[in-house]
Amino acid sequence: MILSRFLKTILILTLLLGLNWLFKNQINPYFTQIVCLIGINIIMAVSLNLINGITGQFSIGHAGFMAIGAYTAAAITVYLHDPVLSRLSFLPMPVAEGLFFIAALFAGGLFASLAGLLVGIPTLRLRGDYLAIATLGFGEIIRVIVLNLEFVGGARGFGDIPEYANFFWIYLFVLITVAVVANLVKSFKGMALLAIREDEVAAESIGIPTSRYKIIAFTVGSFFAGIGGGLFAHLITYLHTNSFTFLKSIEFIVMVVLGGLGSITGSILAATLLTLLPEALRGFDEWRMVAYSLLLILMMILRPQGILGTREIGFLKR
Amino acid sequence: MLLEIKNCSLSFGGIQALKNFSADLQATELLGEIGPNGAGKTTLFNVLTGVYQPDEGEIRLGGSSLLGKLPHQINEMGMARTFQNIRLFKEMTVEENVLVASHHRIRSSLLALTLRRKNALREEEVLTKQAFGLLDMFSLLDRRLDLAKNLPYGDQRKLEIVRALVTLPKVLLLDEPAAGMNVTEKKELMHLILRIQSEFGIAILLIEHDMSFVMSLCPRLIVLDYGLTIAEGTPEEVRKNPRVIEAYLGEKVRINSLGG
Amino acid sequence: MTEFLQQLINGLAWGSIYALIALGYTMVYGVLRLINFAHGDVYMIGAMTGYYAAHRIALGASGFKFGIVLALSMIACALLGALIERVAYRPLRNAPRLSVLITAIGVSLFLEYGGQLLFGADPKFFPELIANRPFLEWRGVVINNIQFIILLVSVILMVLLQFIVMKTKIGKAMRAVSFSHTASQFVGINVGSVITVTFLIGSALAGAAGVMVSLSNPKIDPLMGIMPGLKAFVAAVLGGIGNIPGALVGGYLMGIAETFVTAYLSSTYRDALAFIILILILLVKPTGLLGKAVKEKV
Repeated sequence: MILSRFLKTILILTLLLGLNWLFKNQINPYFTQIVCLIGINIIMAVSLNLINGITGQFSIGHAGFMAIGAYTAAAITVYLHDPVLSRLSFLPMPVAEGLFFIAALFAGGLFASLAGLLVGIPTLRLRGDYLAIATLGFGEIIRVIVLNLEFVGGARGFGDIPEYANFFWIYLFVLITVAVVANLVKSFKGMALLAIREDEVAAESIGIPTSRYKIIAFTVGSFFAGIGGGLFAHLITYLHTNSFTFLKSIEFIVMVVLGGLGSITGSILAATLLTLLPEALRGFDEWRMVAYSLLLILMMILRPQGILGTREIGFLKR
Repeated sequence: MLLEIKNCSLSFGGIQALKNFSADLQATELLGEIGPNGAGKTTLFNVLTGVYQPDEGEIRLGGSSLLGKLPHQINEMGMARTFQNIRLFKEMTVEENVLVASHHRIRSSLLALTLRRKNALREEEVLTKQAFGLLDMFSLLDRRLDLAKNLPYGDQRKLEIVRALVTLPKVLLLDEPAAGMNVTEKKELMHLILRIQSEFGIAILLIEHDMSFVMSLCPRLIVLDYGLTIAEGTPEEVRKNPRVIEAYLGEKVRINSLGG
Repeated sequence: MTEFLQQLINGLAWGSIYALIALGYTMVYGVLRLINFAHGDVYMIGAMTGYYAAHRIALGASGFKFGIVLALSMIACALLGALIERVAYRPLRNAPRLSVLITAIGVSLFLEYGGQLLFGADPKFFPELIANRPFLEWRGVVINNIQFIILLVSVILMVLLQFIVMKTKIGKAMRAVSFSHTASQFVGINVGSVITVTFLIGSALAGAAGVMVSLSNPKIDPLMGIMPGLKAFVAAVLGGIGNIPGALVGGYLMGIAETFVTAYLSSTYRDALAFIILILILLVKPTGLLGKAVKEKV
């Protein structure tokens, strides 16, 4: 049993490395960039789905967690690059950089999840709309704080971030995110999150500590949002707080709702679709946002459950 | 004495829902709770399970006080309930509704479960078998993959009871379990309740409006009105009690069922 | 002291604007339990409508022209608000809350970006209908006539609203619907009509705010409703969302707080102030200064 798990991991890693080589050397960089962005958006959508879709909470400030992850990871790789890598000079460069990158990403995820904790705890008593507004406010506060931090660029933006993120790293974390969230929700204890969404009072009556689980949802969701942010920073190599506005949070909400609140495969599908669509509509920039907003309205009126509702397809089927 | 309720009072704004209410429940006893609408029956359940904290009074389960405890803690201590308006997890399957209730019986941590460690998976297997056994007993096993919201009404009520049983309670609070059921279903339910009592050794406190149901099932009854106990005793005694008859006088339909 | 009073006047003027917008948020939340994200953009439409009206009406700049422009904008916004309610929110009357929230966000985005397409994204300059001159002076504290007009018109509108809500049949119906839709239906109230009227009134007030703000801040653009909308919303929450006097209290507090922070602290934190107030109020007393907590029935 364990052996085959080990073998499976080796196989997946090899596949990812192979695809990475393919994208880097054989496929045109524009397309590769899109594929990488899709991966990041999948991480963002799935992590948001854990909070909004699976646990039924109203978090509309997800871009804030992404920002924390992005700026933390970037600050580490930019400022600690030389001191850390010089200490790791006994290792071959790609390995040293890889380890450094993972550490930076995890730091970003950790800080983001701390923020998730900070948001989750006081908002426990807030219902629906109030929770939504609190998360919105939080997201904006983060943005304003970062905007005023000079050492990460302030209003000019933060540039010269090493380009560590590639197909391999991004999709490695896509797989980790999806696996963790899926396994979490499938487990008997993780199912408590679904129960909380369905009926909090009933959940409490069968022994589920609802407050604790809501916090878990926020913390895990924001952790992966932070990872997504860190990957984003090292793909685009330049950060500006304009990338993390309320509008960005809305984009993620649209992905989750379009895919179906509670459906992980739905989020994957929707994230892919909604990353490709703007590219396909490149020439019609002004119409893009108008079309987007109409899509939102029509979707909620005509098919609020999104593409897949709460179902999963493929290997994630319950 | 398994469950002791002493002088509990609770008011909402100007309304006194429970007034100096006291009652006792022995282990494996089956106690029926009746009373006109608004008497405070469901409020009592809410107080017992920690949804509301009483303004005064004491509640003890197996000697330990329940005051100040959160609902999920009270469930862990051994009290489970069903709801008057059925609160199933509608978008989850029958199976999931029941498995999620095994929550506080799992030793493995959330992390171990997420990483699908061997011990964790084994625990899940054991708990699944137990849960399926219960579903089978209530004839719900072949519908285990159906969504809870798609079950017929009677089965939904049964499922809620199974879900509560999975938490291995010492005391089970049933809030109008027979509501909306037909004669056959009610008969089946009666047998199931008696089975639960004997096979699992659980004490049951049952709220019901159907007089013939509760009087043929429960050897002892308490009658509530305006938040206090107005009578207590065997069905025979209660039936003849003038205070009880007076309390129900406003509800013409009940008079007939009181008589037989 | 002079400085303090002067800032107070400025704060009251801004407070009037926020209060007018906040009233719309609070009334709609009261009858529908919906946070109408698009409300701030109705304020923007008010300014835009005023702009086009001011250009088309062949009258010289004057108070009279201002009055007409104001009336036209209020009517246009009222109709827009009612339209939004009918088209976007009414179909979702039984939908889960998150769905309606998302739709409201969609409408907001539609107005903003649609506005950019329709009006052009570049800022426009609202014509000067009333020249900015000092109106009253007392010991060095100046109220200029635009501020006076804002205060006067706002107070008139608020008094009117109070009258409608407290003394008329429709106002009583609005209060009933805020309390319970079911109970209202039982006493024969047409809940749908009441909701439409609520949107009509709330949107008209926002439109008025949009025109008045353009008198002193003539630079207008399709995205101008975002920040004031958010701040007015926070003001409504501060006062107690669903509570009409609360919207007034919240609006004026917000205006004054903002003015003082900008004057005595720093203007970079002006926008963040709203969010800080929001977080604080949600942590300390989510139901707001004048609001009451509601218990869930089990």
